[in-house]
Amino acid sequence: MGIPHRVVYWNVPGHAWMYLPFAILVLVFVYGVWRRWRVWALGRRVQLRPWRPRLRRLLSHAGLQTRVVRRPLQGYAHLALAVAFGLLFIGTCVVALKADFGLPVMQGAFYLWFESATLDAAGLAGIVALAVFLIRRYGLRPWALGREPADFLVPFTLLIILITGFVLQSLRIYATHDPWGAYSFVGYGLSRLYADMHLGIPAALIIHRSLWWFHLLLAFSFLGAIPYSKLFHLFMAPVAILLSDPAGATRLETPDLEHAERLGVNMLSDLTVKDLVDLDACTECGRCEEVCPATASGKPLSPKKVILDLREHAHLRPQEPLTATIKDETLFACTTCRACMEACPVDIEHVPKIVGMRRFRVMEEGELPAGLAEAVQGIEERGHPFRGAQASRTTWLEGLPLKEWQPGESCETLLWVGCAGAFDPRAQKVARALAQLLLAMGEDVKVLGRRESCTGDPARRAGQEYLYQMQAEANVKTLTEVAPRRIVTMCPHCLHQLGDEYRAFGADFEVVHHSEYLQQALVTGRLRAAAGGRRITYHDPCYLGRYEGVFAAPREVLRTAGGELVEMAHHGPDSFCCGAGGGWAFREEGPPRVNRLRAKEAVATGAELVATGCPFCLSMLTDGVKAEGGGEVQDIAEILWAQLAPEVVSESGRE
Amino acid sequence: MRIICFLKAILDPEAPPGAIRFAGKVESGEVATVLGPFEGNALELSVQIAQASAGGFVAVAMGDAAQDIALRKALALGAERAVRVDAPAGFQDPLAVARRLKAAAEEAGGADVYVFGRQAGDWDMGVTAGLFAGLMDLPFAPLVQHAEVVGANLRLRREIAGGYEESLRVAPLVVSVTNGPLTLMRLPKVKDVMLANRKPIDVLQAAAEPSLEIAEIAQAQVTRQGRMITGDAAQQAAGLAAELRRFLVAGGGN
Repeated sequence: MGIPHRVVYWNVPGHAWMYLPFAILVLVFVYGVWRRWRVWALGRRVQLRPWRPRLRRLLSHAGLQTRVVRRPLQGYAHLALAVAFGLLFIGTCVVALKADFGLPVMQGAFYLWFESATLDAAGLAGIVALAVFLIRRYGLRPWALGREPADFLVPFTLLIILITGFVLQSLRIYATHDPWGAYSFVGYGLSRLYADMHLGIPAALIIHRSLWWFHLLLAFSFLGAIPYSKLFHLFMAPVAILLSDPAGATRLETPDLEHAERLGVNMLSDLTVKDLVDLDACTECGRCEEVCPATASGKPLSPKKVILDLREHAHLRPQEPLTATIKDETLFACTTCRACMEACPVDIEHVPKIVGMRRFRVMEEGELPAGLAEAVQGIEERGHPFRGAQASRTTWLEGLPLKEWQPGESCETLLWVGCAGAFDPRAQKVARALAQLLLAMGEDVKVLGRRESCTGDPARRAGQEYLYQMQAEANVKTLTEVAPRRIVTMCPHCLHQLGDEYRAFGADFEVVHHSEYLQQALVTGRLRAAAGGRRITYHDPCYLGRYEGVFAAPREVLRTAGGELVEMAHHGPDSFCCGAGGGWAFREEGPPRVNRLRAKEAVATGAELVATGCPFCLSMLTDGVKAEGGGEVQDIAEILWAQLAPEVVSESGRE
Repeated sequence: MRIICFLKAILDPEAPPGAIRFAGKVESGEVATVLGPFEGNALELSVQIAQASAGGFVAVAMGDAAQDIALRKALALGAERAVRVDAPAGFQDPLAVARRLKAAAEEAGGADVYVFGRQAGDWDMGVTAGLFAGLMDLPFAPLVQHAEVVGANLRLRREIAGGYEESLRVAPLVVSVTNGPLTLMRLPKVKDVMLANRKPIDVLQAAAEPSLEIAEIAQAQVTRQGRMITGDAAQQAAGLAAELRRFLVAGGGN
């Protein structure tokens, strides 16, 4: 028998002709890539350093597909298919090394265990994965998956390529009486059938030769189609992951408005290379759409469609303004909750693109939806977005032994109460509870009072970057003068601004959310709380959870002071927006409202109490839970204050 | 058409109760100064007439530097020039104001249309536009909600009971503008705001005019006389009837 091997092209005498379609394939492929390259080249450059976190993300999200497998059925099927085709690609390269370069690589144990057995296993895994895809898309029919002709053609063609590959292998084993055929176990199994069918050798040879050419041309056509279809994600998904912000793009870019040629994004050249690569990386899996609160509440926004519409725009009308493609009702429907970005397996950054386009509409064209326009005007004129507020910055703290910081004083703990805490009657109660908790801890706590002004977050998310930057500069100046040792805030939007986005304005403050500060106080014994006996569910605010990564601290506080914690269907990084983000807290929203959808989930847990850690979520959920017939909604500070051990309270006095 | 738009920035009408104190004089504390609401409408109509007639407008305000906030808004929305008639902040006698604005309008070279807000949102007197028209000896069209340019004239619309009244008015004239769906002030473009912040504001010294002065101002005392009638519907109805009877007997209904 000699050294295990097989003869390549044993039954294809004119096989050299295959280099003609191969050359065509290369040309078609290169042209397809060049077409897309033209678009990427329009983009603004992206800062890639430091490389290490980017490479780590690439390995995790592209190599190990850790985000893809979060949906186990289709995720592991995809991983199996990717690994299978990776192996088959290597196997094909080995064939080329032997056939085209005469290298003796395809023989011996390697031939038997890799080139035969492993590749057969890979092919089989590929067929199973493709079957899962087809059954899911056309049998289970999830609403977020498209069913266009290309959606069928791609997996079906791959399936045919794999099946014909096995048939070719089996015919070879059958016709050549391959002594090592059994290692190619799938082909070998099939070859055994031919004897039962009394298939003649001459017929087998003719079928093999014809099928070989069919298989080859089909495979070449498939490869040639890659740069023209969503299959291009094969190459572009890893690039999109590599270019993505390792910090999750939670901080919006801070443009230099004084010297900008155009404010915001309206032409392809206003986008970054990363933004343009994203368009070609989209696999159309629909996960972003499934988790989008705007889509779920019937608004004319689907994150997937935004990406696909921009992709079409980029290739069909690259010189036209983006406003021709993405309409205001789509742009301003986004709550900036980042659920789409968290769900995207290839790290497409939807929210920065949407805010970029909003910036253009607001700053260059003066367009802003009703409600939001008044809120932004409120920030400009009176430093807060709450129209018709009946309170001043210090009304909420009347009667509390809380001091306003005065120039020249030092400041240990600064309680940044935020506009909601100061002006919204419901959130004022949270501010009081938190202030009393801090006083009960014996903190040297101060507030800014009339020196506090909106962080500008609603303006920035709405697209009014100019106003935001003015607010940010003024607040950083104030806080630099106050120089507090730490800032505690009850508003996740303020937390994100003061602690994160203000870094672009030279800020470097220690900022903590009250949930973290209170949890630490419980751990160190500065606060002691009686255990509560209620069944509680906790709503993760988007800007606390997905933006700032705070998931555990509020739950710890609730376990200590609340009672039994039950989770909603969507929680943690998969939490569902309350409907207030992106400026929606100040707009009129028609049914079905996002807060009602979230409240339904909260009520379905059977919890007596819904807890949260954001004044905007509190307001939205209070309305929603009431309408859905649920129980009370409270901030964790209120829950803890009510459960505070009596000996602690007696020192400071309970309201 | 040439337009002069008269603006006034006022203490924030949305300031919470008690933020502005009236103890002999007005103490504004930390309350912000904002463009008066009807002046926003006047500005919007001025922009519309200027655009429709391929003309331009000049913005004029009277007061101290706090008025610049109104004039900068006008510059951001396309005003060719901003003029502030220098005067101390606080109450101004409307006739004296009208006289000084007439002087400012003449300095600015006059106009085809003089646009005012229906009334200043602080003192709510609503007479300056009419007095100005009288001093200028021009026709006065009050409470306008829409203007259409018809050649050298204007077709003006205002709301009346059950509908709208439209009239064709011959320029030059004075109009006062009120709120309506078509006079909602547009948002300025940020580029224009940035440019407006760098443009000059011309300051005119006001001539001395005989003027009324406020001798003293006092806060109205808030008293709570309301009472909640509780119980079921029948008890509430009976309670209400008894209250009304008591009220009438006490002579409150005459």
